[in-house]
Amino acid sequence: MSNQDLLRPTLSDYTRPPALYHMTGFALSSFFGGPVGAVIYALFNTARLSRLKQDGAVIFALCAAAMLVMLQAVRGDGLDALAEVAGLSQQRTGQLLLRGLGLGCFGAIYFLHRKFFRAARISGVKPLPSWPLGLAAVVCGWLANAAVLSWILKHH
Amino acid sequence: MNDQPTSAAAFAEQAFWYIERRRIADAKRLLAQALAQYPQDPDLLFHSAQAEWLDDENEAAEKTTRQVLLVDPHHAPARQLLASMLVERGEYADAELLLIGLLRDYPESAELYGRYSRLMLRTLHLEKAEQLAHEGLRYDPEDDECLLAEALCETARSGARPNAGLQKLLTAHPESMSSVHALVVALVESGRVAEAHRIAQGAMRADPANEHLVDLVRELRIQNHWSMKPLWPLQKWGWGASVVMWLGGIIVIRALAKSAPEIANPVAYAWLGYAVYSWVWPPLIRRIL
Repeated sequence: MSNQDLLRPTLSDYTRPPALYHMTGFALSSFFGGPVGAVIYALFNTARLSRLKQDGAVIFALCAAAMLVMLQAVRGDGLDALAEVAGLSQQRTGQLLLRGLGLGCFGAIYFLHRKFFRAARISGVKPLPSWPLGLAAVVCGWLANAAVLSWILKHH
Repeated sequence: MNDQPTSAAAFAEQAFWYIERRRIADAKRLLAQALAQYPQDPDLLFHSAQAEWLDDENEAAEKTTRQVLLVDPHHAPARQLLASMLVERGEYADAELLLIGLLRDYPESAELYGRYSRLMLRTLHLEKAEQLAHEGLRYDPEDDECLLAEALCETARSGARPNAGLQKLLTAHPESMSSVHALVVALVESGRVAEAHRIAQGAMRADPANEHLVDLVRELRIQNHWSMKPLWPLQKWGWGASVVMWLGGIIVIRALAKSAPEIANPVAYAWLGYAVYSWVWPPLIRRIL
């Protein structure tokens, strides 16, 4: 970046300054909403960072990978083995596995955006209130999880 | 400093002397007296705005700063002060335009690059923040604003890993507040709260009127309180520890329920108690202490 580029205004391009939604909301949405909950929350964060073009594909790929893991767990009898160890029904084990995968997505997306989370902490930037977004992510994630799980269990 | 100043410049010098020592009431008294004689002097008005700003009279400070800029639109310290006020108010785009204007007038000012870099870091533009700090360091390799910005950018990028920017800042300015700030931030990010607390306490003893330091020491005291010790894994590894705690808890309790059902319930209650403690206690202690 040349000196002239460095002195070109950056912030006037934004209608709202970059910021991040609360981390607690992100973790809880990922746990209760699974991969879809994590992705919905992360996409809003990514939009506030104006990084949808750079990170959007990675975030969707993470969600797809989590669903593939779920599918493989059912196809490869991994889910049955887990259900037996946990002493739970296949449905319940599937729900727990999706929650675990949601936390996995949370970890991966946090890793992707960790420098921004750290920069926000270091600069003392207050996180955006996350209740409405978190709730929406949990509800959508929960519905998506139920739909995906019943489809996978029915067809495999 | 008890001699009566005889010119606007002498008044301004004495007011600055008071402001530097955080004797804001004395500075204000002197400035009121000076402005009665020299009501349009930009430096006196600027120091008056500075004193109001440090006294948390933000609206009055902004009004006075704008008054300075009416008298002297190119007054650089007043433009910088106005930029700081706009940043505090969250009007980042306007603050950026002011800083860019200043940089166009003073293109070799490392301090201005450092300030612009801090603004970029605050608005999460990490790459531009780093480039601005590096650009400023080309003009003055020891400028503490740029070194601070560089150290903070590196902390944001690499967390607890060795931080060359911080090393440079500590070597160039071992006694400055910027060094203390960057060091404390880096220690907190690495989960070394007790050390960060000790350093911040030492700095506060040297500058007890610094409100930022007082707030920092208070926060670190809370994080370092004995009742927060059980939460140290969560403090040190943050959400990573939370995720491990939840997943580990579920797996361990499930396994115990099958292999040793008599201790599964006590372990589950202890785990749940710890989780509730980690949610409830930190906000409570902030209210208590």
